[in-house]
Amino acid sequence: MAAAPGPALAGVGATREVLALPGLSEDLLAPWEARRLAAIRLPARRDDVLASRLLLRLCVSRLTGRPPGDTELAQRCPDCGKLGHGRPYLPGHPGLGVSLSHADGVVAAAAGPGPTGVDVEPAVRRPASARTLRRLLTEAELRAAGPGDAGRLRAWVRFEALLKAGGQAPGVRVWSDARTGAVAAVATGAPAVVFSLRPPRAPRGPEEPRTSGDPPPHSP
Amino acid sequence: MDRVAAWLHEKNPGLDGPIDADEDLVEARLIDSMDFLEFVDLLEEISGTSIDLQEATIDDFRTLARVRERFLSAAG
Repeated sequence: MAAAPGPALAGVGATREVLALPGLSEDLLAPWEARRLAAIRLPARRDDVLASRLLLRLCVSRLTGRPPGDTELAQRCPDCGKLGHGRPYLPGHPGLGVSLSHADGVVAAAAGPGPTGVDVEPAVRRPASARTLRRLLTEAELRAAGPGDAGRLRAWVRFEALLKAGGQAPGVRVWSDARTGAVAAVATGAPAVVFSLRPPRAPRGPEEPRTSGDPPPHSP
Repeated sequence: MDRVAAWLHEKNPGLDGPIDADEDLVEARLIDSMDFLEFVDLLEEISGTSIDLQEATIDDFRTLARVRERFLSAAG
């Protein structure tokens, strides 16, 4: 199946909000994903991982127009070549790149044409020191992100998003999501539309109200 | 290895019980990507030697047993 045309989508949400969304449940995960979840000892971290995988399915759903349950997700390690870990991809959409991220109660996911990477961190997280970050980041990358903890955190999420995209995505967008208190970055080959989840209010739709600029949600 | 275990518990408040030597730290999400760099700093501090990330693989950090074998065998 060809990749869906149009922009990339990147979503950020609080873990508890994603898990509360109607229509998104653990049942959507493949058996191999469920086995990976079972290996996580800390319940909060398990919830983060689950929420990121569900948010990814929501992103893909919004991009393809198909229900979230139709998304078959796979992962392949670029180093060892084995399945079940490493870079995520969609066997049914070989031209569509996907990525997910989770950290201490916030999650992010992205889908878009070509290589795609996303990363998120709580804005209050204290990043590693500049000395430590220089193991992987260049001086120019650190300087461009600005001073202090906030700058190093932005540099880090930018680096991670680009890394997850295989270093191939031409555009990287870094933004702060004030509602969830997160800093996120998405690296894509297409302009990225960014959205932030809102807490669901029963009994209306799976996610509302939408903000201007939000893409329309999938209608089951 | 006590310092390594203590560091992991500090990074994972609420983690009950010991961390098994063969437990997969990555799969169990006991180390995330940013903590990973601090983990390398810690191993260098304990071992007194530098770690070249170009020569190491993620599997070298995957379990406490492998960490001990790969980086801390000379540190006692």
